Amino acid sequence: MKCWIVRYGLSFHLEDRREEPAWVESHLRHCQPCREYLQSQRQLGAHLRAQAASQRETAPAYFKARVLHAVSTQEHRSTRQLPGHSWSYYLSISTAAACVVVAGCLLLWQLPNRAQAPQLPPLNAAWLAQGTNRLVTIANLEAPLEREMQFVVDDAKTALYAVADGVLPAGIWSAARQTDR
Amino acid sequence: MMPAEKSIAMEPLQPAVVVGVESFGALVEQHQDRIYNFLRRMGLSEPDAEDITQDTFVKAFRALDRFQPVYSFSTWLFTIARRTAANHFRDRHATEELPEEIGGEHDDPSQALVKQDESQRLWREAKKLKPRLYEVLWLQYGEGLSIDETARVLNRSPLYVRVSLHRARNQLAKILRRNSL
Repeated sequence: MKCWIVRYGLSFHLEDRREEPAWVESHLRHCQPCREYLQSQRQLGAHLRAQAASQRETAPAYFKARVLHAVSTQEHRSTRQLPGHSWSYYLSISTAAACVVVAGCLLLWQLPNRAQAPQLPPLNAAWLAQGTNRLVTIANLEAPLEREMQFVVDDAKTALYAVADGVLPAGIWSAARQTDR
Repeated sequence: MMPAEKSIAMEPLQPAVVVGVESFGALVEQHQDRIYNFLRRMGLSEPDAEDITQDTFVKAFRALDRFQPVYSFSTWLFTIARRTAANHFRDRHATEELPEEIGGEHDDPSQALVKQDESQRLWREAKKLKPRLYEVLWLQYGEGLSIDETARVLNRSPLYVRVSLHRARNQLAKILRRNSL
């Protein structure tokens, strides 16, 4: 068996301090370099453990008091804080939600005006029998639906102006509002 | 011996009995040196190591109810400390360099005098390894963590830890051989 495979296997068992597997044992019995390798690896580990003590640094004497002060300050702050997030978190969430609503409404608004769509033939068996895959619209519902959509867009714009007025520099949104009107 | 049994034997005070800041102080006293020393070994300056040790304990205190005693409390603290240090480096990466110790050996002539100190030679040579290999080596031999505990701290598999240890020991042995020639 190749020595490098055995050495790889040996390494895996060094930290466990268990006996080597039988296939490693049988190789070690007749391979002097691998026995020396195992010995050197064990010695290296032992030296690393022993010399680690000289590497130790201790925290300053005042450190415990400093940590406890920080912990108690944090605890005090967390009890004073309202549950949940700060006002900036809610502001950013509400702005993002308003933007999504406005974008959705504008997208729907830009859809082709169905009121001007050509009148389709009445739905009957003969027409269906033609096998066409045409879009069926109900003309009576389109006008009220469009008015509702306009209301939603207006509401969303008003909400967005109200939020943006408090965040962006004064004048930008007022100008935009004037243009819009 | 199982890691959990060992940790209970080594750590008389368990987080389960911590009810307030004062009793948390006992845990701070018990672990502050290990965490501080670990951060110093990872190449942090004294002020940075103090700050991150403090942050580690503050985070641990706030998350005490989420601590699961599958592994020891110190393993959990090492995990928090390592992540906090990583975030610290990531946040200041844009403006500052990493600590020089992580980058490699100094060419400062005064370092040559320090090299005479044989008791620290091994770990100083180990600093020439890649930081991730040095970290595994320190957790294993410096802190005496088991393979499973080291894997937990690094958020890696035990196999990764074994392979890294194998590479770290071999590379360190090569460095030592080269220097002794």
